[in-house]
Amino acid sequence: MLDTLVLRALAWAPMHGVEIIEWLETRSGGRLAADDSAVYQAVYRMEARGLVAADWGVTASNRRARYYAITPAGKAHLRAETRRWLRTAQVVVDVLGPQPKPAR
Amino acid sequence: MQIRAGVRRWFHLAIHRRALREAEVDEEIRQHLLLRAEQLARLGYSGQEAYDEAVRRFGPAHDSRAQLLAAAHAREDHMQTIERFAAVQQDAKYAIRQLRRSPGFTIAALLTLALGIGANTSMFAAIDALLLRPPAAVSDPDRVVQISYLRTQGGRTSTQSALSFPIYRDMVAATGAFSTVGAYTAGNLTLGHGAEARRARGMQVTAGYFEALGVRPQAGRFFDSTETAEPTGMRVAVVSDRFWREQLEGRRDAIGTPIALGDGAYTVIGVAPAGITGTTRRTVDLWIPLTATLTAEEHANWLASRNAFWLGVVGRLRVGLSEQQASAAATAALHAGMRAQGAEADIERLDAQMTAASVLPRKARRDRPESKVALLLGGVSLLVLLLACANVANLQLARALRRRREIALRVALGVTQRRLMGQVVLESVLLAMAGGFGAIVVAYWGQLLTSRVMLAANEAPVPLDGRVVAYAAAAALAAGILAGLVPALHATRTDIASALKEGSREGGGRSTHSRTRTGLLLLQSALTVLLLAGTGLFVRSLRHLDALRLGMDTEQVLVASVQTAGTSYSAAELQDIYRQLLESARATPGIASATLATSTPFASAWAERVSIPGRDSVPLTTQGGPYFMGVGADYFATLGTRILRGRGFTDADHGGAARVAVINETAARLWWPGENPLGKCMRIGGDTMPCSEVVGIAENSRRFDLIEDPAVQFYMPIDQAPAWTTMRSLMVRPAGEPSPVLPELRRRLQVAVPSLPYISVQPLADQVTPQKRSWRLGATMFGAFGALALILATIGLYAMLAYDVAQRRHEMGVRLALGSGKSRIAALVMGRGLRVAAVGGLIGLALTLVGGRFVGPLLFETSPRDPLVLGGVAALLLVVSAAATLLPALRAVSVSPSEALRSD
Repeated sequence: MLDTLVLRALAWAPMHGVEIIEWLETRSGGRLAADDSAVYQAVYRMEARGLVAADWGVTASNRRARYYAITPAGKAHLRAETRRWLRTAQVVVDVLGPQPKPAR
Repeated sequence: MQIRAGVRRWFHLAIHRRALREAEVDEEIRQHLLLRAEQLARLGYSGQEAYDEAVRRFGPAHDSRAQLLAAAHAREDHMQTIERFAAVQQDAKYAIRQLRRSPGFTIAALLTLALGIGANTSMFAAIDALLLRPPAAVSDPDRVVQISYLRTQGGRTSTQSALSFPIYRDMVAATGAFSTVGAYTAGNLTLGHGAEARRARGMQVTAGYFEALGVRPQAGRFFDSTETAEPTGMRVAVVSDRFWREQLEGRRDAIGTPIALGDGAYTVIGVAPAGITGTTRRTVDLWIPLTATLTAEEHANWLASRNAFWLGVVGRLRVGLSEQQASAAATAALHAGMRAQGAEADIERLDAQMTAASVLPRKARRDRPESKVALLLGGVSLLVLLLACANVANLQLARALRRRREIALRVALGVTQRRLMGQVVLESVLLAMAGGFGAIVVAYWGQLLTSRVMLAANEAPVPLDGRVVAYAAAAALAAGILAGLVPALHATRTDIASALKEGSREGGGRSTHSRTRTGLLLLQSALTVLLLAGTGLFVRSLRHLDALRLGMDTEQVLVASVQTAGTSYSAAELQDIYRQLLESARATPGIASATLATSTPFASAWAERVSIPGRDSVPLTTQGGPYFMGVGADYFATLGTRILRGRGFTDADHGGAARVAVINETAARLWWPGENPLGKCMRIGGDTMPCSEVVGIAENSRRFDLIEDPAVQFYMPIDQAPAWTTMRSLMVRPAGEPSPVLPELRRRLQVAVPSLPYISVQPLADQVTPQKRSWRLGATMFGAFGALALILATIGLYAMLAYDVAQRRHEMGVRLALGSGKSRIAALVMGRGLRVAAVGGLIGLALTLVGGRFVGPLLFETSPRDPLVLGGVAALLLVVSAAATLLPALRAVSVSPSEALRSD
């Protein structure tokens, strides 16, 4: 799950770890409760599968940081996963949603 | 501990990498914390708080870092594997491209590998079929044993696997040793009647047979005890998988229907699983109960007699019992049985013992001649494969030297040594795998050859299935790696600078490699001479065998016999049938003469006492006897046995006429030395019998074997033969070649008598040919491997010279420019090649002369030093070598001097 969210972040632009965390916090309004290190694990996993590419770079504040960029394979994966999650979510909402009023 | 430099380097690489990775992850974490602290500071945290908060938000202290490290390692490993795989793919594509660019090399290497791997695979298939595979469809085959009789005669013990029925019953009683015991006997059965009669391979078994083997029926069921009861069983049959598919169309409802077998109908009750042959390798089409066809008379003779040995017996050992224990228990049971029948005295006299031996081929067939030959040839084929690998290595080395520049360039551009070596080995493996496909084809032809030459006609052929293909793949892989090792090591020693500068001319590395290459070629030439000499010697032996005087024209005579298995004719009925068949045979067009006899040469022989008035005893040879045949008047003309003195028999010598006899040369020599035997009296059967007058002397003729010592033999008219000679055999001599007449003759004979069982008509030569098998085996297998070795040696020689010429183009150019004649250059090249071949050939001849000691006893009337054979082989080698050197020589003289001088 986290993998897909991170991919969504990277789909905007190549980012380093803290930028990804920032983006996620902003988008989720702080509701996403995950350790920072979990984000790195996700990104390492995806790097192994070839969904993101990584390289060292320099930040605006002249610090060294490892930047991650989404690859074409990553983009395809993101599209597929997004579709899947949204479909799943719709099913859950339909099932658990407000009961239709019984006809009198 | 001092670790070798290379190993240390590998260690460092592995450790270094891990340390690098850890450092990288730590760096990333550090930078993350700093950046996160900056970001939190922007959100309102103060300096140190921001950092602490960043640490807190990172996750639990130790675990997070450990987990990240683990994830990083996994990532690296994964990506490395993908990278390596991609590198291998790239190398493979490159290798294939390079191979396509030099088709000559590729074809030569493929051919060499295909032949080497293929020959090796077909020998493996033969050894596997004969020695390694357990009997098909038998469950738990290491608990199944063959129970045999141990015969001690004259101090020597031999195993007799044919037992009598009472002995079988004793084994059944040994329940402590065997959980089940079954008996079997093989024979031919007649399928169908009259003109459609066909021969089927049958086996007669007891109910315990399938049970002892642990076989389950594919369909239907096997025999139960009522169907195999004594004295007469029921007429039911179990069919083989192939029979079911071919004759009964594999229909389930064929079970329960009758088939025409023998002289009646048998009901099919089940189908055996595919491939089952019991414990032998003989193919079987049908099984019927042992007692199904026995008449009361036969019951008395065959079932009750302890000395009628006709059954094979197998048993399944009880769990936990060893073969020795079972043998002891079987012997005890045998003695108990003999005591019960009042034959106690025989136990001591005969030293009667039983032995139970495993039916696993690697134990049971280990001492058979075919197995030994197969193992020997397996060794030879391994040697041939190694030579093929050496050849391919040679070819690759030559090619690598041509490509020195290209390799040096690649190294300079950054290909690691390891990758370079890997590329060379990969190329070699690719060649070998491609050669492996060709090897399967070669193995197929090889299997046909080995089946025909090494196995008897009624044995199941050598199977070519998954096991064999897997072996071929493994052998190909091993061959590829082996062939690629030396070139790979050589590639890493390329001196870059000099290679880039000089081009393809070789510097100092020449002497070592060229010596190894020459040495390999010498070895190959020597092996070729050795194998081809073996072929020649065996072929000569066969020629000498064919030229033997057998005392009859085996090539001209056909033997007809009635298959009586499964029928119940009396002796008188059979004799009558044969008389009618004789008439029918004589009436067939294209037949010169036909005759009846009481036995068939090479198959059976009778002996009878003879007494000569005036002598106490009749001298015999070491072969015993005196042997006799009751024959028709046309016998000597039909068989082509010459009458040396006197006359043969005529129609006047019928039953009631004066008793006459014809004796053979040995009898004449021993019984009346120095006198004329014609007119002398001999009493056949004892000294109370009437005189038979000797009217002729016939030449000696064979009784059983192609090679046997002479025996005392005589002939009498068949009508005057003793009453107990009930057997009959019909022999026919066609006017011209026998094979065109054979089918017509068989057809006529088959319908000559109504409802006759199957009549088989075979050339008499078929009795003789199996006896030549071992020489034919030697000739064929030596020939096959000799041809292989010759091809390999030729390719090797050609490769070496082609490379040489390519190397010395510059030198050739100089020579031509300086005025050397073209023929001189050609002679140079050819001379080098022929010299190698000649030296190798001489070594081979020397080896042949030394090894002749071992081969000598296997030959027939041929000396292992036969000069004709050795000279012929040497000449063949030289001629073929000359042909191989021709093309490189032509290339050498076609070099244009100016071009050669200019090029690198």
